[in-house]
Amino acid sequence: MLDRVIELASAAADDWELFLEERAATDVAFRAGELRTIDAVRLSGVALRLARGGRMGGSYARELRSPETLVEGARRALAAGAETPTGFAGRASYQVGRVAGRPAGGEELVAAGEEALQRLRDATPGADLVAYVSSRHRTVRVLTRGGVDERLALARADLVAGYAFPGGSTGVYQALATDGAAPRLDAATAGLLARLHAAAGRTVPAPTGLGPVLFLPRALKAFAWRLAVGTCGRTVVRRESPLAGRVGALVASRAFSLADDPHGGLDARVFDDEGTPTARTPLVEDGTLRGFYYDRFWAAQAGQASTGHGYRDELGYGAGDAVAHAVAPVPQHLAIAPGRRTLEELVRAMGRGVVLVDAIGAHSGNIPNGDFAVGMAPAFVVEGGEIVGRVRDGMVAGNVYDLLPRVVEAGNVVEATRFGRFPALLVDGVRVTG
Amino acid sequence: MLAQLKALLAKIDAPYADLRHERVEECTVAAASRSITGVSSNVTEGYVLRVLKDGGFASIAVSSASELEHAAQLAAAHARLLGRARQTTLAATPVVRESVRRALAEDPRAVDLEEKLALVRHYAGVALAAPRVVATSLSYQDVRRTKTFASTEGSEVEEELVTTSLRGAITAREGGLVQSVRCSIGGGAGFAPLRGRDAVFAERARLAGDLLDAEPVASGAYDVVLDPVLAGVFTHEAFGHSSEADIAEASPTQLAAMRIGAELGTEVLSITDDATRRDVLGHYRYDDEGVPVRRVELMRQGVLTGRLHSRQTSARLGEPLTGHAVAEDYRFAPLVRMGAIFIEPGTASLDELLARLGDGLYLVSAKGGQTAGAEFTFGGQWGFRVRGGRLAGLVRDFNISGNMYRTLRSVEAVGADLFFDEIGACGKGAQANIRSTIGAPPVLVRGLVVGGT
Repeated sequence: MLDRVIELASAAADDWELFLEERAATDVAFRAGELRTIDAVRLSGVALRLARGGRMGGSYARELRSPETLVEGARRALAAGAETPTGFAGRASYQVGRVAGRPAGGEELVAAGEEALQRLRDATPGADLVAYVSSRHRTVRVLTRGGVDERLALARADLVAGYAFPGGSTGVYQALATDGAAPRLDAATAGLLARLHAAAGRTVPAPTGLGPVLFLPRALKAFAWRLAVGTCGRTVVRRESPLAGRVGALVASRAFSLADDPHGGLDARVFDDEGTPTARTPLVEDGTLRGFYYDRFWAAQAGQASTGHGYRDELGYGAGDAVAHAVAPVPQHLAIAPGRRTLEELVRAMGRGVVLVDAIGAHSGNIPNGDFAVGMAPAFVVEGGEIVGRVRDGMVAGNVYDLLPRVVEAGNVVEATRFGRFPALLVDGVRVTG
Repeated sequence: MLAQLKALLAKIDAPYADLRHERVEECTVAAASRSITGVSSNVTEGYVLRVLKDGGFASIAVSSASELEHAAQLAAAHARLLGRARQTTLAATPVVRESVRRALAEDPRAVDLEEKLALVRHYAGVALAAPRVVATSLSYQDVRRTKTFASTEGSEVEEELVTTSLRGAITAREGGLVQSVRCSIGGGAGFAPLRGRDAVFAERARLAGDLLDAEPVASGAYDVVLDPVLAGVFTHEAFGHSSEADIAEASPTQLAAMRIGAELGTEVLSITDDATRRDVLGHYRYDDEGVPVRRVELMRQGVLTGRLHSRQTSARLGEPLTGHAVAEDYRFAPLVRMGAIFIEPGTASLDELLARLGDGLYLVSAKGGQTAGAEFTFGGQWGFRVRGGRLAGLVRDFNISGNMYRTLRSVEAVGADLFFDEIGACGKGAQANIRSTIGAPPVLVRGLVVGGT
């Protein structure tokens, strides 16, 4: 069937690109301390893009039962014509994609969740417990008329477990991931979560005004989302980015470095969804803006080469249903460089301030301008270098471009969040509202 | 299709199973200013199977019919694991056999792709003509979901849902300041509502430019009037999600706080979900469990009166079935979702609300929102200072945040003019729902936390 698609595509257009994906996932959810749902997915798909005479069109299908329907959909789209200043990738070098581990099955996931809940129950009897355990297996193949034929298989298992606060899903959680076997929550981590849960029982007023805020890795999505927009080739070409034209300028304190690093971590990629080889792309190094990231389309618009960031996903939603998405420049592997001190040392160093564990509403507001105003989910108040209680009904606000020069330092432990691999980041001069 | 689904269900050895097939026809156009950056035309399909066995209820989604038999075995194995933890029962629902198709105001399939591209380019041109507008990002989408549902109880439902949208952002820039305003038109009525809407894009483009001269909002607590869209987002995000029984049931303390009969809001506040209304995007006849949707009074004069349910949550909580188990498409099992949630209108005009407000903010239109339990944060697009009951200057760059319970008790007055948004958007778990829509009149809220810069 694939050969027939290629034959039809070659007849219909000058250039073509095929993206094939198979996905298997199992999601297990425990709520209120008990097993509630197990949902599984087995999806495959193939996306075709055709190019001819500076025009491009695409289509996708779940199964290749009818190559004619797939190619006809793309041909119709091509006739209407998206503009493309470039064709699809030519043969670069064959590289070996990551070999996937064995994806965990439902029984293993349930056992890992039950074990995590028991550890949390032992640490704090009677608390409201939540756990989500999932496994994912994904194969990707990209072919182009120019000779690209790249494949990889990815496997990953995730566990998120912790205490929900009374009245809802805000709480304190730990996220763990592996390349196959279900992650296990150890007793020490359960103990740390229990101490935070205990501290959350005391509500204290927000220290309103400007002051230090320690953003824990998950809360850094408020920064990541805006910087991903600001360093995107698309917004730079379209003059929407405040960073446009500032390569080489000092835009942050020297304690801040941000790169897109596709070769580390669990979802490592050696080629993007357009078949372009990937490489580490420095964005900000020791406070200096180093560059931007591009897919093939926006690289051509900027007169540059693709940096290998053409993905069929959105930031924060990696490894989703890629065939259904259009290719766009996406920094799938953002990484903030860690510093030297531990989280506890940073809390002691900040004296009086706020620890923001996670943020809600990070996708709201004037993102192109760098503004954010996020809810606390949750946040703790620090006084005399110690956590003294939890803030209710507060917000943390600022502008990332104003705050980057006020980054004090990064923590020494990196966590793999949905938006990238981040350490904790201590930032001064952040507005807290209560 | 029904015969194929029934044949497979007949092979499943379980007290209950259901199987949903969906065919999704989709056309998309994406544009960066006047340049078309993507055109796609797709036809896809898939299946979702749910099996109740040994007291557990598990689901599996597959894209290939050839995988269905193996999928049934896996779902049964997962159901057994679930049954070890707790026994699931499903609320009784009448066996139905119906096919539902709606007349459209212009079928998007009958509109040439070239015409869709021309319309996107035209609206981009309208926006780009405004002073200081530097870019637009607009996208067009039409989606036709043809759903076929069969259950071992004998229900057989076919329903077709068509959704169109033309949405995006208009960006103005001056020096280092960037302002972006979202705009969206469309709905469930067909292609016709997308035509002749220049005024929407011209007005939003003018606003994007004007916001470059607006003042940022200083962070703090304010008395505010929320416009219908922002009031609707508040209703959806801050209250609606907590009315979804699968969320309420997940937290024993939240369920206790949200007990039917609890006085949660002020007397002026009544909230309803009504997906039976044919004039709003959220309309449907049957949910993805084959249950007819019904109008649900969620809050009446501040008192909690109802909740949205699936068959599973209805049985567990012993509350009436409502028909709100809805999936994004064939890739997902259904979750409890709002259809068309809205605040029932009161009597005050907008001018009367502003006069009653005195000094504060009038906040307009929405820019995304999120909840975490009872806590919520969402963005507004623009607003005005209000002094002595009169609008006194444009303001920009703010989010609002708070706690659901405290905010429901801070709603002081509700306006008379009920407005439903044309476009829906709701994320829950990994699923989007492009048809879940919101409505409200303007409302006056005291002491809301507004986060600016």
